[in-house]
Amino acid sequence: MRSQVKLVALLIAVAFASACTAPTLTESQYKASVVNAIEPAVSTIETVRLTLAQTERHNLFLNPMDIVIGGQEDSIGAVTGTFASVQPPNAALDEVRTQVLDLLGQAEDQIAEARIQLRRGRVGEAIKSIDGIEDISKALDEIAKRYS
Amino acid sequence: MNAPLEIGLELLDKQILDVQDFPCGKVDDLELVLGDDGRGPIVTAIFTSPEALGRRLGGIVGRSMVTVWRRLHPNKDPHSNRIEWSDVEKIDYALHLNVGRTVAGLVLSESWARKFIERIPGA
Amino acid sequence: MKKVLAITLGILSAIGGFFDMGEIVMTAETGARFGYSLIWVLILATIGIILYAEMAGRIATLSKRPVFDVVRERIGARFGMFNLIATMFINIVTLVAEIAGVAIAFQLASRINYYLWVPLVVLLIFIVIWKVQFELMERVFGILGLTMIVFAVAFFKLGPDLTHVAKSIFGPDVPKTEALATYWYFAIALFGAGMTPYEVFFFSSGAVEEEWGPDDLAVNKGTAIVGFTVGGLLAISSIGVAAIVFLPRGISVDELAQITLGPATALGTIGLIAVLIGLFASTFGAALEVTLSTGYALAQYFGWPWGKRLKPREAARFHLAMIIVLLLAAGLVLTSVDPVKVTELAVVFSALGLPLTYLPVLIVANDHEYMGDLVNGKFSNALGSVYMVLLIITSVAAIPLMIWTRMGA
Repeated sequence: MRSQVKLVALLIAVAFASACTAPTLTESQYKASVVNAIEPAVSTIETVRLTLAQTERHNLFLNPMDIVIGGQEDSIGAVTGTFASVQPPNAALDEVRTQVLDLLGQAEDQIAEARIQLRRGRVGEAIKSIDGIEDISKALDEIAKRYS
Repeated sequence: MNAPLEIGLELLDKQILDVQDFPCGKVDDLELVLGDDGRGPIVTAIFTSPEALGRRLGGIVGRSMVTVWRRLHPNKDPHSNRIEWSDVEKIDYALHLNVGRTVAGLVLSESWARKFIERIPGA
Repeated sequence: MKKVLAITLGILSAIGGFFDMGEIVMTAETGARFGYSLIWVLILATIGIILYAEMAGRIATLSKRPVFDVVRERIGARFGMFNLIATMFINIVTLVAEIAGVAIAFQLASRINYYLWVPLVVLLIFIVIWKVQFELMERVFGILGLTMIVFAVAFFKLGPDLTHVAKSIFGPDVPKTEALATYWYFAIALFGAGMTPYEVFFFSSGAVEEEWGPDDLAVNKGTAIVGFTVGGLLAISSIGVAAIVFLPRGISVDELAQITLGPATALGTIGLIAVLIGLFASTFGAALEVTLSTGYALAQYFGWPWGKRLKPREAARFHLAMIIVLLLAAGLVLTSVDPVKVTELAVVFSALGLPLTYLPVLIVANDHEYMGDLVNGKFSNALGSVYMVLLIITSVAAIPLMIWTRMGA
């Protein structure tokens, strides 16, 4: 019994530890981390686009939509933070790092602006503030395709 | 109540009900005495308490049950609830007593919990 | 009419039990990543829970004693204790997830942060358990939970390609972007969420609480079949909605709030309102079930008086245990755990504990001493044994797959 309890505790600890991102060292691992940052970011951008489009189309009441956007803003912030902290293994990869971080930063700013407008009840303004965000989504997608 | 019993199947871990069908715990352990006329062991009493159960289970779980029970018990040197075999009325899906729960001294932990519960409105 | 009302037990078990936080989160995640390709798991889980809930209900109806009461005396004190500890652990993690779900439903409606809602949610659960009659409780939440039908309506409104759905059920394709291990991890999580142990504890204890007798055996079968089929169909619809709304857009579900987007996209404001009510009702109903199940399991193992039909003062330890569990779970929610991650953890632990819950049900359902002539027939036993193999495989594979796939990351 006792050894079983210990084993389960150990397994759980391993499971949690393995969910954290370790500092990347090799080139292929770094490329994987690029993809890992892009996928949730694209999800976030598309969630925000969908939310605002449906809010306008159906004239939805704003409380839940505000929470959705706020949550997405937090998660893209977290993704950006994690990716920014990963050390690129060589100078050649600095370029893609800057490119991805720029795109993530732009998206984050636009989403924050959308959240501000939505909270004021200005759905039209909120949609305007994410104008062009689908291009960011596409650009990120292309980078991910190159590296996966 | 003198018929032969398969104690593992028909007695241990049965629900105990008092004379008013109030649930008073489970049959956690037994007291067996060897019959003097050469017949098999005779059940003279049953025990019900986390201590009796903990001792029977053994291991880390059993030992900690005994420790916790001793800590929480109001008496300094507590004993498991002992029910004399003569207090047992019959055994079917449960073990029925012919005495009330207070007579058998089985309400201690329930009363202990009731002290908290009673303070909450609507209890 | 009485029979119709009796079905509500099944509906509460189904909406609150089957389509609860675990299934709401897992189906949305699954649909968004794997499309329709895991629907077969839900069909399997639905049949399994019907089969075993019917057995557990039959045991309770005939012996007047719910499953956990019989486990200790039939299988032994040691196994019973191991089972009890595992059940407590699974239930508490599940309760954390459900409480978070209710609080998030309130947050979505009010914009007030969900942590602030947690104390109120716990107080509400407490009041219902303390004061509200069992039948009334299950009817109110059973009926409110029916608003989750919004997922089925939304799915058909979105115009699914039904031949594609059927093809995916009978010959599922793993999406090329996903690893096979991840696919199986999600399969196990969906299965664990569908057959969460508290459902049978609640179902069988509920049968005793409602004082079912041999006349109610048909009701038992009916509630199990109708209730869990409704729950299963809702869960399948939820996969479908996510597969249509989220998958093509590359959206992955990592926040509970996102699940409102499916019904809102399909049905607008009505869909949004229905999903908010449904989210509240199903997670709140499930929170009640889990809390009660925890009390049932403890009281039935130790032989305490139990039941909602007794006043709290008449079943003091039973009620005290539930208060402690509620406070513990509320404390864990407030440690700022991620509600979605806790839910995933809860369903994996459920999967791990499946055989512990269901094996005793199968054994006792074959015991003439408890069941008289109404022991399992050949069909139930054959199917029950097949499921037992599935449950054991699921249990063995759960933790290795969780670690290997980093919880499906």
